[in-house]
Amino acid sequence: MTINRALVATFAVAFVLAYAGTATAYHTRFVSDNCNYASPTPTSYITRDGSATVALRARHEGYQWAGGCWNDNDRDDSPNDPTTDAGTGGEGGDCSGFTFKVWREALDTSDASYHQWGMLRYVHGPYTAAAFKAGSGAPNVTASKSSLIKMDALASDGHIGLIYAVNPDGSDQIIEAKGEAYGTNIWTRTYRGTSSYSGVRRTGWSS
Amino acid sequence: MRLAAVTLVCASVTACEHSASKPPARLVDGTPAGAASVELEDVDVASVVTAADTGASTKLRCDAASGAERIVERIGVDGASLTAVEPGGRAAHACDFTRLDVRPCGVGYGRLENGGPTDPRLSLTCRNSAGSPLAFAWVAPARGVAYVAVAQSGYVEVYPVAGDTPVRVTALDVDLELARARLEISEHGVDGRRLRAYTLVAQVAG
Repeated sequence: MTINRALVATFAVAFVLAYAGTATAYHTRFVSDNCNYASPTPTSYITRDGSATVALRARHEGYQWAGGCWNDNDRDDSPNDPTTDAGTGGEGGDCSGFTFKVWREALDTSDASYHQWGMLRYVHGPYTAAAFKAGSGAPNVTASKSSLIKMDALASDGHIGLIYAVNPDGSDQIIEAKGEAYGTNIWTRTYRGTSSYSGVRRTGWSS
Repeated sequence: MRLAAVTLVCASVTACEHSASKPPARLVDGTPAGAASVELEDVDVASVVTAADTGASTKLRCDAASGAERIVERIGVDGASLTAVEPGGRAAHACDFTRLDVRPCGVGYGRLENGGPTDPRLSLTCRNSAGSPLAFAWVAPARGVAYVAVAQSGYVEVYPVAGDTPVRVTALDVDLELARARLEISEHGVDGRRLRAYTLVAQVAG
């Protein structure tokens, strides 16, 4: 009996140590193997349908805290990496990085022009959800929630999602990079009726 | 603060290549900049002490600070900030300024665990008076730390720990391409003894 207990204890300790080692050493190679630093393509206009198309390419892909690079194979290539760890090199954007790319924004916050970033271009941009909520940056303004339409955003201090469609009941279909456990997808949300969320708009849409 | 966003290295806070230049004479609000009242161990360049105020009558105005349980206003060389801890102490707001008479140029929001931020909540939306991108980030000082020293170009900016809040500091070592800032930091006790030194590499996230 004593030997069995010792074996169980040894196994338990070994398991804990092995798990701890795995957790602290977690790192995927998605970014290093797939992403690039190519210059964005300047464009002279932005349309809401065009941005929706850009957003849909990220659908079913992963989520990466501080990230901004994904492919279009409809699966998370780096599932279950640690949350709020910018160094894990996983696939996907976070909520603000996703918004930055879909809204074709510039790294310079005083620049309101349009920059088409490739899916696999690793970029997050200078804005957090809280910064978007405040309307920070030349391209971005706060807007009344009742005025928001397709590809405008609803932002709280800790999250931002883009309106993909408005539902008849007043809720919205939101396309968003939600979190490591959820990835990037479209969900029905009631952010518009939630007091912690405010309306945000990228300016300069041509249609 | 989780070590995920922090790379700890042995480094003294020095800026040798600019050590001959004079430190700034004034803080961003125009008040005279003071020197540290104690000698900070392993700080080999001139220091500038920033102002910290935990009082109710702060100069800075920010909607996010309303209703806060604790507020610390900091006036530094290139920027100023408010850190406002929500009632219950589970999250904090930051409002960042490079001009004191206008709206904040940057904001931050983050959860607190054991009194410290889970992420530095880097803000890169501000520019200093020279037009350079200015990073704001929270530092979570270790227990017993009285001063947080951040290396700047030719001098060290010293932030007194105050109000049981994360310390909002600034840095000009900014990489906009990677949405990242690098801060060389040392933390000192009330007698100036260095308790630890590290490089904080913070990224814009969330």
